[in-house]
Parts: sequence; C-alpha cells; structure tokens
Amino acid sequence: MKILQLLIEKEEVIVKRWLKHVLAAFSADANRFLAKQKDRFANPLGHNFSTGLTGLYRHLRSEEPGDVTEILEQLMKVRAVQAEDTPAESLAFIFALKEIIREECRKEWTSELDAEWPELAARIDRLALQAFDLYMACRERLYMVRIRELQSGNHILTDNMKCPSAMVREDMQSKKVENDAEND
Amino acid sequence: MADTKIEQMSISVAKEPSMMTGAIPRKEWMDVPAVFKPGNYCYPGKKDIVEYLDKNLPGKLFGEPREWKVEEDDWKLPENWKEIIIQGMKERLDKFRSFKVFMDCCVRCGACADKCHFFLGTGDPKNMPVLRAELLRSVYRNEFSKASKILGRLAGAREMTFGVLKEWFMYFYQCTECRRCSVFCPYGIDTAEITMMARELLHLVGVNTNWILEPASNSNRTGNHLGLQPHTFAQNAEFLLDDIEEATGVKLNNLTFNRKGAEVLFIIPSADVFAEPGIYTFMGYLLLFEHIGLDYTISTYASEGGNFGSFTNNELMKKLNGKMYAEAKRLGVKWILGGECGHMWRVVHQYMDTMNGPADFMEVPKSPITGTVFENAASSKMVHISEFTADLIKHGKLKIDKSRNDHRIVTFHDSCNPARGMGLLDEPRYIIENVCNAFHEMPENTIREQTFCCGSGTGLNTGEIMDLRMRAGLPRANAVKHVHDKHGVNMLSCVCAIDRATLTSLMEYWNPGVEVCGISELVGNALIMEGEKERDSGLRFEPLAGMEG
Repeated sequence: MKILQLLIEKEEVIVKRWLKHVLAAFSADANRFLAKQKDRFANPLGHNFSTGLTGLYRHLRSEEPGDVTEILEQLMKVRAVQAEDTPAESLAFIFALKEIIREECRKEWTSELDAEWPELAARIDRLALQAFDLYMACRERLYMVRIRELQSGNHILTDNMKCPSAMVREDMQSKKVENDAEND
Repeated sequence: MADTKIEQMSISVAKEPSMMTGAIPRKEWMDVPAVFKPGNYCYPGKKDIVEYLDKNLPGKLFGEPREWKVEEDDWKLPENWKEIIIQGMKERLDKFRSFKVFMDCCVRCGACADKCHFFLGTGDPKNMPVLRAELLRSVYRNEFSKASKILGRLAGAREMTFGVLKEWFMYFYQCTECRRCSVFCPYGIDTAEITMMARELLHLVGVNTNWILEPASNSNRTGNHLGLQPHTFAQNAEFLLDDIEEATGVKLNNLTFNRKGAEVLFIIPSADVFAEPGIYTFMGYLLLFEHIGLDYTISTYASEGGNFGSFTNNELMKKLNGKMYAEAKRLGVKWILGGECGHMWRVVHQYMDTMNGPADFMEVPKSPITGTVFENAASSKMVHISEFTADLIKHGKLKIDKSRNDHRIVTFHDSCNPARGMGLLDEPRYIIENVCNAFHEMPENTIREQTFCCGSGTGLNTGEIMDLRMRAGLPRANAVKHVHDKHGVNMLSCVCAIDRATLTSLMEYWNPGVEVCGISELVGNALIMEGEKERDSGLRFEPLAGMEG
C-alpha cells in the first residue's frame, strides 16, 4: 500500500507529534522534563510513552502487522493508573493519531491515498478496541491486587483470630442475646 | 542537573489539568488548589484511635479527636488552628536546628526536582521536592521573615490558609521520606525531615491518616502494628516451626520468648511472623540461628521493629522505640540483633542513641561465632542481620548449597532506609552472591544510594490509594522490568518488611512473574542443616530446580 510507504517516510515527524500530543496532558514543567530526559530509568514515564507510541506506530504501518499486545499492554498499564482521567480520556490518544496523520501528510495526499485510508483507519480502530480490553484488564488487575492485599492484611488476624479475652467477650454477648430473647 | 528553576515553576506550573489533583491550573502554583477525590488521599484517623493516642501521650500532639471527612470543606478544625500551626512551627524551629537550616538554605537550584519517584510517576510539579518543600517554606517566610512578609508573594511568602493546609495534607502524604532527592542536594537538605515536620504540624490540628495512627496505637498498646497479644504473637511464630520442619525435615527447638539471660535480643518487623512473604524471611532467620547455635530470644513486648510513630511526631517515635532498650534491659541481654526492616533502621541508626540511649547496660556487640566486634554499633548496641550474616559467611561459618536457589534469578532492591539511612549497601549483595548462582543488578541509577522507593513507604501502604502507589512505584518497577526482560529475573529481594508487602503488589501489577523475598529466605534455602531431609522444595514449598516433576 502506498499509504504505508508514506507512513514509513514520515515516521519520525508523526511519532514526535503524537508523543507531544500525549505529553500535553502534563504540566509545562513536567512536559519539558518528560520530553527531554532520554535516560529510560531516570524518566520512566517519558520512556514508556515514547517506546510505546513508536511500537504502536510501527505496528500500524507494517505490511504484515504482528502481535502488538505486549507493547500496547505496557502503555495501558501506565494509562490505567496514570491519571484520574475517564477511560475515554485515557484512550483518546489512539484516535488522535488519525488526525495527526492526515495533517502531517496533507501535502503528499492523493486520491489514491484516499482510497487506502479506510483500511488504515480501520486498523487504528481495531487497535483502539484492543486497547480498551487491555485497559480494562489493567483496572481489574489493580482491583485484584487490592483484594489480595486485603485478604492477606491485618483484618484476617484481628477479625478471625480468637484471643481468649475476645472469646469470653463474644460468649458473654451471645449469652446476653439469648437471655434477652428469652425475657422477651 | 535539572533545568527547572523555581521562578519558572511559579509562573508555568501547569497549563493543563494536574494529573494528581484534577484541577485545571491556569494560575501560578500558589493559586492551584488541591482537590481531594477518592483514590488520591488516605482515610483520616478514627476518633477512638486519636482519643487513645491523646490519652497516652501528653501535650495535645494529635489535635482534637473527631470524625471528619477529607473531601468535605469543613475539616472540623479547632477555631485557633492557624495559631496552633504557627506556634508549632515556631517551637520546632527553636527545637530542631536542622529544620531552621533547611527552611533557610535552599537556593532552588533544581537538582532535586526530577529525582522524586512521585514526580517521575505522577508528573505533578508539586511533587518536585523543591516545590513540595516550598509549600511549607512559603508559610515560614511569611511568619518568620519580616522582609518576606512585606514583599509577600514577590518573596515567595504566603499566609497560612485552609487551602494551604489541604495542599500540605495532599503533598506531604505524597512523600515517602525516602531521601533520594537529598542525595542530589548540594546543601544536603534532608527533605524527609521537612516532611516529618509538616506531618507533625498537621497532627497538631488533628489532620491525620488512620493507616498510620492505628498501627502506631496498636504498637503502643501491645507492642506491634496488628495489636497481636503476646500469646498470639508467639503462636504465630511457633506455627512457622512446623512449616520449617516440613520443608527441611529439621525440627527447631531454638525459638524462645522473653527468656531472661539470653545473649541476644532479636527484634523483627512483626509482619515477618504473620504475612507472606515475610514469614519465609522469618523461617530463614530461625534456620540461620539454629545452624550457628545462637543464644537468642524474641520479646513479645518489643515485638515490632517498625515504628509508625516516626511517621507522626518525635514524641511517639521515641516512645515506641523506647521499648527496645527497655526490653533489652529487662531481659539482661548483651546486645540486640535486628531483622530485615526499613524505617526501623532509620530510627535505630539515626535517632535511637540520642533519643533513648545511652544503652550502657549492654556490651559492644560481638559475634559469638566469629569473634567480630561490631564497632559501628558500639553505641547503639544493635546489629543488622545482614551485617551479622555477611560476617558469618566471610569467616566460613555457614555450610551452604547455592544450587538450592537455582530456581531463583535474583535482583536486589536497596530498601531506602537501610541504604540511604544507614549505608547498608554491600552486605546484602555479598550474602546474595554467596547463596545464589544467578544475581543481576538493576541499572546503576536505580540502586544503592540512588535506589528508587517502593512508592508506599511512611505509612502510604494502604489500599485506598492503590492507583497512586502504582504511579509512585513506576520508577522502581520500570527498572525491575528491565532485568526481568533481559535476564529473566524472577525474584526481587530486599531487606524491608514494607517492601516485602508493597513490592509484591507493585510486581503483581507491573511485572507479573516476579516474586519478592527477604535476603534471609535465600539464606535459609541454601543452608545445609544438620539432620535435614533431602531438600526438594524451598521454604515456600516451591519445587527446587530439577525437582519440578
């Protein structure tokens, strides 16, 4: 497809703009740092966004796209806890790519590309659907982590563990309830 | 060095919604309000808990016990709350020289700005340590510098208002006192101590979190976070003897409680006797002591190494810490051995000696096995289990089969407090290298002095802020992912009980397939015990390498 060829040529500029779009959600100072610091360990957010978006882009522009799950999942892990955004706000960046591509390729755009566009747009939509599944899986995993912590946490010991004084107290209470019931 | 200057920050803090507060900041940082929403704050202290602490610690340090809700506009503060805060600040400036120096000497070079895991994980500028400290400094300038008071905002001064109080509660509970930023500060400003002061001031007007106050009050009452009574604590620990026997075939008889005349008092974080994966660390300790025939005992009174008091104020920290020496004296031990705990070691190493010492009723710690005298603990009389174990290995006193950890590909997370708070950097690594065949370090700028916090320290390890914890833990998880992908690392070892609990959650979310353990568990796995059975599983009953069938 011609359009894929064009996307390969324009990779650098489009990915850069896409990243800028994602980072725009952060404050100006954070934004500057996230975009500038290239050390992946000193800047884990920036690194995850830049490698993630590059990976997704390369997937979209490849003739035979492989499995993108791993790359997308890592990005969704970040999105799913990153902000108190709604799910829609967290996933909107994928749809934004359509507009970015159209704008960046405006000069080179031909009627032939017009014909190819729906297929690429559908690829982006499929990516968004997959992202939605993974985003939800991340949220669910987060809840599972919380449940597991609760289950292994102190309430198990404090609520279930019977110390003698608690047993005596409970015993007295149940006897009192029985007595009250009889008296009624 | 970071390029962010406070002047820039003050103008351009944010043009978009803050990732943390959800507020839309189109103003200078002083005008950006903190907005509390479910998931970005810890639940406040329960009334009866505050009442209990108030009753047991003189001085109205915890404010007025009451029911209040963080999201409501009325926090039911005392009428004179501003006065209490300013007076509290004045007293602390007089009492703690370091506080005064830290308030005055920052030149806002920005070196710390991008070093905080909360900033790196949230992108919220108020989590840049310099700006977080500025939340407090701005009030300090207004109250204690005449020139600044006149110049007002031009000099970065502002009045104490309810909005400022909310900001303090939000951001001083988005600091784990890990001190990574302090490593990069050319003036050595200890930001942890700034957070400590801010939290003390918040407590004075009853602004607090239950996750910290309840364990602290439990520790005061029964000696440990969960409020386990002595018999329950002992039962839990004894229960693990059965597991040790099942895993190794060795029945241990060396576990005693409150035994007078023992040579060594052993103090652990209480989580090691009831919570996974800490219990495996505990099993490792006991196997080691049996292996070398150590004459030790555990106290059911000083049954908590951790000190949640240190997340509230100096007075409660001192009181909770006091039971260590009190129990050492009562039992007549020669010295104290401490388990794998994080902030316990910050308190022990930096504060205990002056707070509750001198412990001149004990002897300078000397290993009864190797004869090594721990001069570094000559005054505090308390030795870290990793120092003790490394010394045993160095002198060839342990029979070790490293292959029993071959199912583990290990990395090591420097727990913040032992690493930056006491300089324990090489001992754990020496131990790991001697009990494991596969050990891979994480990248240089994420370990040792530069280690990244688990994201849940200083009493932030509570479930209601799970999203926030995952954000703050991203820098650590990101480095673990690297060695997991590159070397197949499946075990993240550490020397801290909070780490063992919180890194487990962090790994479940970010890096499934990576488990978490204490160093002593690895030691316990590798020790060749007298009379043991053929070992086919580790202490968690997981099959050893080659025994999977």
